[in-house]
This record gives sequence, structure tokens and C-alpha cells, in this order.
Amino acid sequence: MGSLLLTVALVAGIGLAGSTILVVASQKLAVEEDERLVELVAMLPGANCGSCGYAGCEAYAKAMLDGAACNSCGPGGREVAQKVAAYLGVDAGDVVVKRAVVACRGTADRVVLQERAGYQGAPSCRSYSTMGHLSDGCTDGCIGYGDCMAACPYGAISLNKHDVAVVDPAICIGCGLCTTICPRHLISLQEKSDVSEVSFVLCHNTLMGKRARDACANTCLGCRRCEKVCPQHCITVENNVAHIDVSKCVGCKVCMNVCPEGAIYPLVWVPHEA
Amino acid sequence: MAKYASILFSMVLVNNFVLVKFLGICPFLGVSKRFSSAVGMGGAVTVVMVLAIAVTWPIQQLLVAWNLEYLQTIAFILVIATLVQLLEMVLKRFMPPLHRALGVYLPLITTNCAVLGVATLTVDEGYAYPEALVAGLGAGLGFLLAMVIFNGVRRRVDEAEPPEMFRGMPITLISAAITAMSLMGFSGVIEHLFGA
Repeated sequence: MGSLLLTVALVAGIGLAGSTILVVASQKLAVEEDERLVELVAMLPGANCGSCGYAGCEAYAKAMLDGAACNSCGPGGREVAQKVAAYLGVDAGDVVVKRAVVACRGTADRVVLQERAGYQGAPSCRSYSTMGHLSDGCTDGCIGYGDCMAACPYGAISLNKHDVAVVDPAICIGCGLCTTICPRHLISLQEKSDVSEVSFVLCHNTLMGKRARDACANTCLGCRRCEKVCPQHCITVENNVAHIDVSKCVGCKVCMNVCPEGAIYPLVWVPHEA
Repeated sequence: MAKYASILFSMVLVNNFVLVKFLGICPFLGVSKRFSSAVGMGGAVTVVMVLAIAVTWPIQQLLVAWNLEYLQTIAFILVIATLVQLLEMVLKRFMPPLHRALGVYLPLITTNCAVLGVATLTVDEGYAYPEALVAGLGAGLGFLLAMVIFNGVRRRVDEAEPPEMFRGMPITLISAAITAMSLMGFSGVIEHLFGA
């Protein structure tokens, strides 16, 4: 009987001592958790894409509790921004809608060079680009193995009939995951402006004049005609490629009409239905 | 001094708890993917092991004195569970990123057989108190070493793109076995080094 009591007392004693330590420790080491954080994280899309500039949805929620702007979530767009702003009791502000654009409308490298180079490596743009420049033509265009397509979590990117990647603006939510994938840095995020159709140069070809024309059926020659004609002075030609500052463009389409190669296209903003 | 060094090195290399005795495999496979969490886990287990021995060794003396040796497992587990909870609170308070990285594996140290194993094995070896503490430290460092080595192995394996059927856990288990074999080469080293 005595040993039984001792057994019970010993185990109970250890348990009691342990629990006492834990109770004291939990009070001393308590971490205050904001319960709003959990609800904010639930409101965000949860893609953890990082387009807001924070490490993930939780980090962004934490930053918003500390007073960061509510309108930085690309995938969430206006709807999430308003929801979050209403929850926190602040003003949502203007939501910048961004869409990814692939700046190439020529023919994919791998199609052009199929016979000449005979690339037999892994079917990936990034592997392909490590081979160096395989052609004396355009080495700035879309390679066409669709690395960006695989990177897009929403399936917004597809290959057109020339195997060049094209972003569907109706599906794209502007998370920017594809922009870091492209080894030729063709994909950029463009902010939606008030103009319904802004002009955009869908070419990165740095070759000039005749060589550019020989290399691709859809190329910017670097002729500077658009630069001279633009009433807003928003076009600059650098490295033989015209670049249009989309935020200044008023959509007058003068540049499109004057371009001898038709390399300037309108960017059509399709409103994204969440 | 040589006695302590001998215990320490035999715990780290010859009797490595993970790769030779095959204890504590769960966190070894679970959190060895990333270097930072592997080191964090190794550190956490080391702390728990040393503290566990610091507490369980006196308790064992008490159990022997009262003829209650059969209570060893339950008493030790109680102590270890308390320590792990304490550690979790400390980590949550002072190292939240590590706390998040370790996730469910942190409370699982409670049932980590390596911790219970080191507590019971040092008792079976009949170590004195300081020797037992050194043995616990050695076991923890051995765990840390195994985690770090295996993290390197795993990263190499991931980059090597194994055949699809082996990808994930199968190739991890195979590489764990090969890593473990390499530590078998240390058996007998301590005897020659320290003449024990």
C-alpha cells in the first residue's frame, strides 16, 4: 500500500512541478497575437505571390495592421482592397490594376532555329538560353518553350500560332510571377491607366534596320519615326527599340499608324472579373 | 578530461543517435530540407537533451532509491514533455521565424525517441552526473551533425533529379541509409584515440 501511494505521489509530483513551471512560463513568455491578423490573412487570396512587395500574404497582413496601404494586393484587386479597408476602417485608395505583357509578337526562337541549330536539350527557355546565342538574327525575342506558361498559377499564358507566349488579360491578375522566369526579360507588368487602349511596342529586338527586318517579320527597326511623331513625347528609342511610357500615353494611335513594321500594338485592358 | 572527450566523441560519431542507433528519424527526415530549419531543429533537440538529462538523472536516483525503476519511462516522458513545451514557448517568444519553420516537428520532440533514448541509455551506462550531461550534449551535437550532413545530401539529391518513381521519400530513405553507412566507419576510432 505504501509503495502504491509513493508511486502515485511521485508521478503526480513530477506532473505538478512540470505544470507549475509551464503555467508560470506561459504567463511570463506570453506572445500577444492580434486576432485581426488571422482574419486579414483569410481575406487575402493566399497566393503568396509577393506582388504586394511583402514576403507573403501573412507578412502583408501584418504590415497592413501596422499601417501599410491596403491596395497593394495584385491578385485581389479592388474587391479585396475594399474588403480589407472596410475591415480595418481605413480608405482603400486607388487600386492599381496591373497586367503582364509579353513584349514579342514575332516567331519563337525555337521555331526559327529548328533546322539550323537543332537544339535537343531540355524543353525549357531557361535551359535554351544557357546555350548562348544560337543565331545571328534576333536574340531578344520569345524562345517559345513556355517557361512562363508553367509558372503562371492561373493559366493565363498560352502560346500563339508562332509559339510566342501571349498573356490573356482577362485571366491575368498581375501577380508578376512570370516576369522573373523569362530568361530574355520580355514580360513586364503594365499599370492600367484611364485610357482604354494605350500603345505598346511588342518587340525587344536590338538589331537595326535591314538586319532587324531580315530577322523577324514583326520587329521594331529603331527608326525613331514614332518618337518624332508622338504628341506626348512618351516614346524613347534605346538600343534600337522604341519604348512607350504607358502612364503618359493618351491612346491617340499616331505611332501605330506611322510605324513601318506594325510593331506597335494597342494594349486592351479587359476588366478582370474576380 | 580524456574521459569526457571520449564520451562526447563517441556520442557524436560512433554512437550517433540518428545514423547509427536509428533513433529520432522523424524530424531527421521531416525538417532536413532547409538548412536553417535543420540547424534550428538540431539546436532545439540538443537543448532538450541536455536539460532532460539534467532533470531525469536525479529522478532516476530517486526511482532507484524507492525501488520504482519501472516508472522510468512515464517519469522521463513527463519531464521531456514539460521541457519541450517550455522550449516551444521560448522559441515562440524570441525566435518566431524558427518557431514557424519547425512547425509541428517542435512539439513532436516530445515523442522523439532520441531524447527518451539518451535519457535511458545514459542511465543504463551508469554514468555519473557530469558524465551524463556530457553524453547528452554529445548526443545532441550528433543529432545536429546528422541533420546538417543530411541536409547537404538532400540538396544534392534534389538537384540531381532522381527518376520519377524514386522522387521524394524513397530516394530520401535510400540516401539516409547510405549516409548512415558512412558513419559506421567510425566504430573503433574512439578506442584507439583515447585508449578507453
